[in-house]
Amino acid sequence: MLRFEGLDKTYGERTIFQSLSYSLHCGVYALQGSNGIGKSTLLKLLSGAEALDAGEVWINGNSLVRSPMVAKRHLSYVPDNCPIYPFMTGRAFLTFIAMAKKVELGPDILDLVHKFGLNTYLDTRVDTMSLGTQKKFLLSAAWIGDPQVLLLDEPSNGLDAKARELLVHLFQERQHRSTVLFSAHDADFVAATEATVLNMDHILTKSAHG
Amino acid sequence: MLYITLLQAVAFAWVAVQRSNISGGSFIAYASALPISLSQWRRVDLIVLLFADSLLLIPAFATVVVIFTSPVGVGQSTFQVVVVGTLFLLMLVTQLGVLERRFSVLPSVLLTSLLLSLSLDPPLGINSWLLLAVALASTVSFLLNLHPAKRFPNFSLLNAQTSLMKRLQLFFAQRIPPASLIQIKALFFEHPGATALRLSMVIAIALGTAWLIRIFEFDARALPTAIIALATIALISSGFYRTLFNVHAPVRPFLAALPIPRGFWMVRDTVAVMALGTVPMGILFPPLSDSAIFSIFVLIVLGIAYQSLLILLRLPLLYGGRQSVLLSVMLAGIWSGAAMAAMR
Repeated sequence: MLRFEGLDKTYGERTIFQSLSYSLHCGVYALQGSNGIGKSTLLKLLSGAEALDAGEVWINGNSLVRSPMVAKRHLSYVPDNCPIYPFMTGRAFLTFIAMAKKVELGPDILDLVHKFGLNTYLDTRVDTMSLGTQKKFLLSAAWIGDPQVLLLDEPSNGLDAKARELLVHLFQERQHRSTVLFSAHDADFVAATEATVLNMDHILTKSAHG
Repeated sequence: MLYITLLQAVAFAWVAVQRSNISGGSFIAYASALPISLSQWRRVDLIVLLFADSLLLIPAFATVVVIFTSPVGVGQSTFQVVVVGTLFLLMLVTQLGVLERRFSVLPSVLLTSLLLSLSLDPPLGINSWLLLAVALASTVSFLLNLHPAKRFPNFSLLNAQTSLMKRLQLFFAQRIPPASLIQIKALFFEHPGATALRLSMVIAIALGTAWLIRIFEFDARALPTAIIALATIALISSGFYRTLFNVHAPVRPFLAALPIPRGFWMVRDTVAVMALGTVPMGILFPPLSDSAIFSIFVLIVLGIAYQSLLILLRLPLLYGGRQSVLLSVMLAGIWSGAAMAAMR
């Protein structure tokens, strides 16, 4: 479902990835590794949030480089911060994502919003929400359009216990029909999701040895 | 009185559009938690205001130079210098009021402006000096005593505005497509001062040009005047590109992960600026259509050329870096020359 080959990324003089390749099928995967090793960068590259220097990413068989629109329709990305227009309300944000994915904001998403306890924040500006509430909206938006690949950067950060439980449940629900790849330092959360742990060192070493 | 009030309005607008930058932007939320006293904040604000006002200071400085070089008595020139100084201090009070959201100071500023204008009534005598002294004392007392209880206190007028804004936003949110809603919020709710100022300026230019062309009785000067006015209006309107670009910039990486076309905002922002550009065009063109010189054909060609300039001005503003203003002015200048040559 998610495959990448020959990814190169450099920032100025610093090479982050060189010929990085890997392939993931359906399931829940936790990306782990020390700070600064490139977990967030990898998720950004795989989602198209950041441009590749070289290489190719396939989302559900669709090339992110050659047919980005189709590939991105099968993809959801949740960054570790909240890069939403600060003046947007929660409702406007969800509507915008639904518009971008060319789908209606269905009852499944409204149900998710309800389960995350976001009903009272639907008409609140994003910049006046707490970090946890912003994260819940980003997570709710990630489920719009029934994505086949979900890329989530530190999704449990800032969430209360109830929301973390819900997120674990959502991941488990997806494990047989989607690829969920998330980065996390929280061992308890990773254990709860029963995710396959992917160590960045392992991916880098495997790529280096072809 | 009108002149003094107009100067206060300019000072008000000058700071209103730059308020966020002058007051320290997003850093201020963090800095507010530091042990910095209100008087230290005030000093910093005043220093930044003086830099921000450097353009406005030029006419004040020029006035002082003129006063000292003109053949009037020492008493008269001293009086005039004190008037200029008081006027400048009064402008600072207005601007501090805007910066600290203390709009309650504005009626007092108007009252002091009235005293100042009365002091200017000839002949110069004890009454003039007395009125000027009261105006100066009142201005200085504002500056010394305008210590806010907290840096940006909640203010009833502001709350009323916020409530009205909220109602308007809800109204728009239910009726407008999400992408257009983002543009409307960015321009009219997030940057209302800058948008209002830009729109007022282009509308004023359109009205002024229509009036001027009537004064010219549609003679040979009419067409060049209309062309220069359209170039100026386009130049001012192109600032909307910058506002929209800055609003999208922090969200761009996240948008890149969404299935939206590469030129999604480029097309929509250009259309939005063109739509805003039709407002002054709609004001300027109907009065011109009465004359033979501005036939329907000429107006259509001018309208298309003006909208094309609006589209082209996106390039220098977004990709011109530090030379963006210079490049925009050059582009508008070249366009004006080409338009005049083509219309001859």
